[in-house]
Amino acid sequence: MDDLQTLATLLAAPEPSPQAAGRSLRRLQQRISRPRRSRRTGRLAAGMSLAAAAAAAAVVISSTAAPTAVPNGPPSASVQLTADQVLLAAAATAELQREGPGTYWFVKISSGDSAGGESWTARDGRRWMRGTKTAGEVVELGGPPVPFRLGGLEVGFEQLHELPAEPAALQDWISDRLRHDDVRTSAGALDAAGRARSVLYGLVSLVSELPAPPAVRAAAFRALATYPGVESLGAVDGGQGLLIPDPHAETPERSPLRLVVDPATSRVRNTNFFVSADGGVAFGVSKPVTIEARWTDTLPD
Amino acid sequence: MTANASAEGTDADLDARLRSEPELFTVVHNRYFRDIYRYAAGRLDAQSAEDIAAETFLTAFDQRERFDPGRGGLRPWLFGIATNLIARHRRKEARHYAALSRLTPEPDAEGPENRVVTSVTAQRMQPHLAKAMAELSPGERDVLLLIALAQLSYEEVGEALGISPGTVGSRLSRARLKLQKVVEQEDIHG
Repeated sequence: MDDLQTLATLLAAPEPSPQAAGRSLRRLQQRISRPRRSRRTGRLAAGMSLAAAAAAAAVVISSTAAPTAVPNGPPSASVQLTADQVLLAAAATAELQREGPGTYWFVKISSGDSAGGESWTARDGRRWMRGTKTAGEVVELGGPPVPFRLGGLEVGFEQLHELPAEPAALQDWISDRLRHDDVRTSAGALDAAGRARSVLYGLVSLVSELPAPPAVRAAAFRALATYPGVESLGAVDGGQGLLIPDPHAETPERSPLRLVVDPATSRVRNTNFFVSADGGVAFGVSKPVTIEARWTDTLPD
Repeated sequence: MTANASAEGTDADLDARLRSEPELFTVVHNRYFRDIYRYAAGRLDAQSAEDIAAETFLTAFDQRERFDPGRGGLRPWLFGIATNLIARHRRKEARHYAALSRLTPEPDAEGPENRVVTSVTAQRMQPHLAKAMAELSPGERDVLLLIALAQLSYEEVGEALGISPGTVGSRLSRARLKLQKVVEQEDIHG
């Protein structure tokens, strides 16, 4: 073995913890949001919340401001955020968000002009729905508490809180549980490709419609950033468009997944893939759907 | 995380935009925190490494006006900053190597502090690590570790430390000779 290699082996240190990386990122974001000495905005900025700082940090990313030319730099026309930059910026924003208080986790999925489906899930698992199936009425679903769907797995609020906040560990957790729980689809037991597909669906659900803690959502964004071949569509209505190829898609129109991510809020605005309130995987093949997912304190009358 | 596996082209985009869009430093952080941390943790204890890594990005942000993409890449620039910060902790660094030298390789050792050294050459070098590192000048140590730990090229080490690639080469060969000497001498006398 080469002496440099030996030295590297002897001095090799463990990986930094996600917490250490998070602490460091927060310090940097605070520094970035700090006003310049020459400006008289000290008091205002000092009162800026972390979330606002994160939003400020990401705002630039969602705008299309022309970059300043730099000598020897690449031509400005080529400047466009890459897909992983969009996903990592969304992760950084997600990480700084505080988990919303609220009584109900509200998810609204709409397509074009139609109202689409809405659901409200209380922390004890009770769920109310409103949609075409309920003739526009808010109806409580009977029976036992309805879990959320994470790539085919049934999970409740508590399990979402126990998910690993590290990208690789999160993917492994979903994959291991799929194998362990012997999850089946209408086509039978999941093979390796089916599990890989379900992991991808689970990650997308975590960032788009599940009440996962901020650190877990951040990990899911980072995990998506590791997928090969993710393409950026650039700035589109509502955020940054991304195409995520799914090598294990069952039908050609199910790949790539199309997401519109707003790095300033870390929310997913539009998608062609979602899990409906009753747990079905759905694709908006003809037109994308808009997702709204947040905590709320009230049920509509 | 493999998100930083994207092509160099995107790095160049980032480099060029940093001055006008300092908010992008969060992207820089996410891309390089791990590398900088592991470099610092190779030279210092974990807590100091966390501080150094965090300070590196704060310093980079504060000094962003001084970053010139025409003169070199982002990565060597960050490693240069980290190296300067580490230089303030000479004693801590020496204690770190001393602690590593004292570790006895145990096959069933657990935990990050009980690093299992498997290769024969590594086992041979380990007890002499502190002495060997102490023999090096700070400049030689920086060059050696930027290459061994951070895996920078000669040219990048030059950019990081503000020295010519030729100087990098001569410091590296001196450092390797000293290293070799210590291990051999100690094998005979020690």
